[in-house]
Amino acid sequence: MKNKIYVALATAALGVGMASAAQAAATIVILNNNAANVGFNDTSPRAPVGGNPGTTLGQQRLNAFQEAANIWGATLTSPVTIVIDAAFVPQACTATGATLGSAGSTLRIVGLDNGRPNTIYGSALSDKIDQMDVAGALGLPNFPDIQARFNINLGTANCLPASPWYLGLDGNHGAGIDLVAVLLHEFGHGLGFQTFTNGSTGALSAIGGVGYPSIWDYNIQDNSTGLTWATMTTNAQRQASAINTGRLVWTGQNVTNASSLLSGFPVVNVSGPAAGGAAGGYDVGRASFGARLTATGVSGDIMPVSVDTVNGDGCLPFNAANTLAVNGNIALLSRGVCGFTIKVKNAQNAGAIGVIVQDNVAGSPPPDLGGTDNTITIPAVRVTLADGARIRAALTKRSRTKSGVIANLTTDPTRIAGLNGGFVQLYAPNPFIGGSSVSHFDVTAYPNMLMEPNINGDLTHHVIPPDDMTFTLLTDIGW
Amino acid sequence: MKTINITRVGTVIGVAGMLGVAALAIAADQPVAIAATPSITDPATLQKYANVRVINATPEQPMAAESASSMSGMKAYVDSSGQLRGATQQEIEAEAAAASNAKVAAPAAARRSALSSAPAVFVAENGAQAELATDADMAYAVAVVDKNGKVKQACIEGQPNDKAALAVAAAGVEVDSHEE
Repeated sequence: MKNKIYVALATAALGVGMASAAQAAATIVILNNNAANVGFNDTSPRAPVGGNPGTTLGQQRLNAFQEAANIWGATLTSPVTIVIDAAFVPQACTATGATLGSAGSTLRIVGLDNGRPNTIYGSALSDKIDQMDVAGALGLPNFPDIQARFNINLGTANCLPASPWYLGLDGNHGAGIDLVAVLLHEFGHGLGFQTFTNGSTGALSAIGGVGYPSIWDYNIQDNSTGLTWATMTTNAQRQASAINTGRLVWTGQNVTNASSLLSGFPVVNVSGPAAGGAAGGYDVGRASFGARLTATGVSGDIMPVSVDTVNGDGCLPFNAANTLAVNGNIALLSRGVCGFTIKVKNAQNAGAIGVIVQDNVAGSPPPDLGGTDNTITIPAVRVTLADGARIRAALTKRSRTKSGVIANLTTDPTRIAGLNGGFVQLYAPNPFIGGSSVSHFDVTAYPNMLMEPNINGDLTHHVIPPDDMTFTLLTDIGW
Repeated sequence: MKTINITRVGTVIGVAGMLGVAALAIAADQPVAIAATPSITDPATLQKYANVRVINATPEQPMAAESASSMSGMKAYVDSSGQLRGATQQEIEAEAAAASNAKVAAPAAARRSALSSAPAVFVAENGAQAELATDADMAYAVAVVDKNGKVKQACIEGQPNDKAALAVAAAGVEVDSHEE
């Protein structure tokens, strides 16, 4: 009888859960799988940080998990609760590197009633497509859909000590690792942003000894052959396409429609009465901080600051002469000594409307500018050492406030960053990079996407356009 | 006001004995019984979100579920003077929620069991088949310090475990062109 009472209580509670699930887009359960006093249950006191009101380390970790899960829960639609089996555990660590964590689907499933036949799906997406707990039908009722394990030691000695988890919810992670952003990315993989097919060998994933394409493979296309991974007949074809840099694309209609959010390649166009031989367009590296480049761009006279080989150009607050030079103009600085954000922030404080950083080592194309500073509001770019020298050569006859050499920091609308043949590019470097290739958007996408292989410092906590296309891709596979 | 959950430890030493121990400890103002209670973060203390619930699946929790299923109501509430008292409506509701949570938490234990004796393939009546994903199916987030002393983050898949994922990243994989 008492058992019956318990069942009745549980059923009633479950009924409430189902009702609330129907109202929400999707309900996600974080299954705290840590032991007492460990991980999510660590009682070490903490001051609230960045909108995270938790007062213990365990509470703050759980709040960050909830924040990321809620973003997904508010975006996805499914009648079946998505269960994430989560824990903080020791992961590989050194003083200079750490595995931050891992996540993925707990099951690979083939043979859905409403899915593509003979096609592998992850667990959460299977539930959505068949509108039921598919694992239950497989003899695993209420089985977790996603496993998530994250590093409990990050930020301690011998585990990237200068880069602890940032548990705030506002993205102001500074030198820390933004747990919410990392979780959004890894949960994305767990929800279906991955192929189970082996890009290194081209082999299909097997269930019961039989190889099947993943649902992803119907949308992975090699633009050189026009074949998708699902229609390729040999492993060698898939293997070759996985290193066909720039020409491995996603053909899903929803992503293709949303690709208008991608911008043109970042460039600086140089013109003006004194530009001379420096006139023309230059490819530039873009900054992970400050204003994004736009099609209109930001224009102004290019004004160099006085060279400071000791402290580094722009590393100290600008003196009167440099302030007069860059105020209302675009500052030209050399790379070196201090971080990019320091240089750009000092230029901004002196009134500059944009910054061009000239590289201090030879090489092309110019790398991007890293760093995080949410107080920087002006755009910044990097040009190569050679291009910077060409521009500087045109500045020799400048006044104290004008150069007559005009820069426009902008984007090139004829070259869309991250597109090939009208389709969004997938990451396909050559040689193949184990683990990063294929199941990510290409790193050329601009603005940066959540599901690029690198987790960039300028990411927002958004998974939908106009900031991101992660959820858009998931809708292409059935979400 | 103090609460002693006797359903957890009660399964080990007996409910009646536990009641006596608890009463004695409180009467003597010795916080031993309570201080020794393992700490599990109470989901009620967390930020509330519209689309997320947190459920504890710690080893203690399934044990509580088993106890709840066979000994519903066997929880004692003690006031500040150490006297037994009746449960409040809030506490009754919390018990019901805990029972529900434990029911949902059970899959964690089921999963561990399934993993330890996993058949190669799970088959449903409709012919659907599944295999348990392995660590090689997981996506690993890694961070490494580059040659300029800057931390770079990357996502690595297809590795057999976390150590291999870090080794791939540490080997100089250049997947992030952002540098300072």
